[in-house]
Amino acid sequence: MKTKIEDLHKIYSNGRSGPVEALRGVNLEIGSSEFVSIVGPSGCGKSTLLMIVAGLVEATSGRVIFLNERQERRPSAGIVFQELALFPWRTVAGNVSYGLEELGLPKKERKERIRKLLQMTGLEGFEDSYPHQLSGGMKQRVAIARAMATEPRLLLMDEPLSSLDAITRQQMQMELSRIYESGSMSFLYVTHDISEAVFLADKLVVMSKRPGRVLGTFSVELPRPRTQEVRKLKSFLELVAGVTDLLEKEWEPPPLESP
Amino acid sequence: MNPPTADPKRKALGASSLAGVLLAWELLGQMGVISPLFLPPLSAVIGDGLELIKSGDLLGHLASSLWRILWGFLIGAGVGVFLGLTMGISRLADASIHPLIAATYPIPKIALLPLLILWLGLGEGSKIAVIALGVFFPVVVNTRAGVLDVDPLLVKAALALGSSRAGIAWKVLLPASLPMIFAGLKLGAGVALLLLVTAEMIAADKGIGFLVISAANLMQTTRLLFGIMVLALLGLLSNWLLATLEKALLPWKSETQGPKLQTR
Repeated sequence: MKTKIEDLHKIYSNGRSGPVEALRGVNLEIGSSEFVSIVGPSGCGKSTLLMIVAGLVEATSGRVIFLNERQERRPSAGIVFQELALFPWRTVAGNVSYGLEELGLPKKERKERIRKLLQMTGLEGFEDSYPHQLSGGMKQRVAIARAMATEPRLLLMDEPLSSLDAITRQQMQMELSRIYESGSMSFLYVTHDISEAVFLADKLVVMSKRPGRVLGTFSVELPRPRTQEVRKLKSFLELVAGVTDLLEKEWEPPPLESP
Repeated sequence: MNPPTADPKRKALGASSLAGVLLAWELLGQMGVISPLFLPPLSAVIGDGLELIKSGDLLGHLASSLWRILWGFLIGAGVGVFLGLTMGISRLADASIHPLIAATYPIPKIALLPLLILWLGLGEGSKIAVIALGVFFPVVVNTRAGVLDVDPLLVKAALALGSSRAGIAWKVLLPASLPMIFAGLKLGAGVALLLLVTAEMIAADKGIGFLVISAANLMQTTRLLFGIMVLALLGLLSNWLLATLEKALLPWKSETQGPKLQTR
């Protein structure tokens, strides 16, 4: 499934100091089974973009099209929120089960799918734990498994690793690449960590500060599967440097007005 | 009420302080420090109580009281949870019902008993109604607050996973507000006991409240004290029932903690 984002504008009219323009004319294409990372300064409307693609926020103008889609009951896009939003009253298995229940899958089939998902995300043995009993990294896995359960064609992720410590974070980046490489899902992945964005992506999109626009797009031609070795490649480091340069210009303070 | 049970030392301390008070009570009576008319010794109270149990009188009083409080609680809590959820979910319902509730909440419910007797007669109806009213208010207010307090992101997560509006109400808003609903139920249980006893003292010829007031009128202090002990047990029982139910329904809530400041 290809996803096309066409000339998306978003203005929040209820801002505290008048309307806030979050997105200004964003165009973006996510290919079938493509991993697209978005980086940009905080408050650049990245989260808004994801919410619009997920259908949780309405765009002021422009549209999101899912191409080549057969008529299916399952949601086109799954989402992993920055704050995870796990259901605290449900166990790990119960959280993963939620979307499957809403699809109306019979119990036996749900069980089988949950088992596979928990295996894939390394959560075996934690089926009956509640979210508050898990570490940050484990909760992260639950949120990913829950979003993947309905087998969406596109998985949206909003800075899912930002609350983890550096080591867990690198491990989860490897896990994510493995999950991506072993399936056929497309990913739209928002982060403010440049090297994370490069490490994961096939395509990297740099966004401007508010109002969010696409500043530039990089094609990431690094070998897969992505391993820790990839981080040492010259092309990896050059890409990180290139993206950093582009963002640096964006972060420059506005020039002082001449008298 | 959920005392921290893990520590056997604490448990022993709690039991011994209770035993100490009971022993002091017994001794004060036995030594004649206080006239038995004001404070008969514990043993006399229990002796009188045993007689009440043997004659079957107590069972009759207890049955009437339990019947009233059970129905009153169930009706009040049921309507309260339902209306609270409705108000939390629907803006229209909230706008039309909430002002009514806010305006009538401060009325001391016992003041409505004469009116209820006028409407429903001296039978069970008026007593059950006053208890139901007393339970309804804390439950409806807590339930509504619980629903309004649900993290909107959880609703978004459910929407993204394909939930309908009804699905969200049933599978997100209700379970997420259960802790608040239980807080309301516990408050309601306390109010129910209070109203039960008062109503039975004012207008009943059976029930524990009636037992207490009639014993007082006849200066039967042992019987009066025994009635109070039964009421205390009734209160403990209802607390325990609610706590057990809460534990079964909310295994995801971490256990109630003891006092934060440890003194060792």
